[in-house]
Amino acid sequence: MHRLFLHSSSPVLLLLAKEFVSEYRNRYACSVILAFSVITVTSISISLANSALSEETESVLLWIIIFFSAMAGLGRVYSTEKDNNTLSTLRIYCCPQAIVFSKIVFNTVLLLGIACLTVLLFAAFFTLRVKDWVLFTVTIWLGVSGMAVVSTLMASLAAEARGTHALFTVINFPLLMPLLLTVTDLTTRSLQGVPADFDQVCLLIGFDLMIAAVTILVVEWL
Amino acid sequence: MDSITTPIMAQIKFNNICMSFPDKLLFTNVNGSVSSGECLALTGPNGSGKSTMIKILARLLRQSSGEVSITLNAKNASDTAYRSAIGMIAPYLEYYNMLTGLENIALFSQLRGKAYCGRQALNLLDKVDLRSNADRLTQTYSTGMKQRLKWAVLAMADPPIWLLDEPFAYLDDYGRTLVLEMLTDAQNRQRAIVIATNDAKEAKLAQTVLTLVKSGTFIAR
Repeated sequence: MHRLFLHSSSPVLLLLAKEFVSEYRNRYACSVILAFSVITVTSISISLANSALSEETESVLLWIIIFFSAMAGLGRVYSTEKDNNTLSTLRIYCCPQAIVFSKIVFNTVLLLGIACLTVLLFAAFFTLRVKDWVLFTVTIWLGVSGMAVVSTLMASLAAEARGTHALFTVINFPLLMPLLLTVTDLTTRSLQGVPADFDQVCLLIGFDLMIAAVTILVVEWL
Repeated sequence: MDSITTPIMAQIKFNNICMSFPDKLLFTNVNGSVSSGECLALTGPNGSGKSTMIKILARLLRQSSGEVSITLNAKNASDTAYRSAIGMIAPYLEYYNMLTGLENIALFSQLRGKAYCGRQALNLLDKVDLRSNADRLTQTYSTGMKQRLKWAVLAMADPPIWLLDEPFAYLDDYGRTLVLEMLTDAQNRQRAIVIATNDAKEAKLAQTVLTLVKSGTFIAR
């Protein structure tokens, strides 16, 4: 009996199923991101020798780890397709918007899983105490989504350039600066129990939506 | 399959196509057209621009100047319809190594908006002699098997216009015979076919031959 994971009339769902099945079978991105996350948290924990960290430091460390985990794994979404000559095949068979949208969703899910794991590792190795869980969860979700969208757009650009991976991190960092500054501040607030700055939450939502819209619009010409 | 019962009459037309790179003029003013039931061969020496021309027709590359258009049932195709009207086989187009042969067929035929029919997919794999490998990951396939899989995917999607770059590459004698049959069948079913090849025998399959020459011009017969 033939097991078939790929059964849908929606191109986005089909491509998403393809991404998850492929990742499940080779586990490359998951392994790279997971290894980076675990090694970094344990290294920091050992070097700090159980010293107490301030909420600001914990927040910055958390987002640095998520950022570099994203850079380690998410850049591959397009470069692997390009290297394996499957990107052109996809372009023949479906619209670029479906391709980029499925990759955004896949990257978001992947990064969200890594962020959850990193938070658990932080709770285990440090004294991470969240006082405002709603703000903390919303910040992680919006921050990770924004990072996934920007990374996907930049990965699609970098795949067309030489020296792909070095270029990927370099062009991502300035674009993600506003997002990183905002999520770090909001995470600190959630750890300290300070009320959220609504304008900052709106900024995050606006940033995510704007980059997603730009990605969907420009992808036709990439 | 709808396309068999009510064949779509398609035509791909290219006018004054020029392609140049910063350091090289590849070709200028290439003109031609292929309609349903016809076959056009693009021939020429290595580096003359056959693959580039096929990529331009598939919209994988943008030409420096000139126009490519597709008409479906005498109406100009929109961007979406253009994409849906083309199927392509080329050495630089691969399928997913981490999916099985059957999953690749299912993925690409459904991306084309065709309802997946398992029996039809298995019949096609049978036809290209890959039935026993249907559930194996394509990373375990040989180059020739991958080429046969490309033919099965194209036959399953069955678009009105077939763009074929070196379609007989890596195939053994049985595979070549099989592909010849599939090509003849496709022409009988009113598919428009463009073949880029170096092989004079393969070019004989076509009613029209367009020879690209290295000086950047072309000769049609």
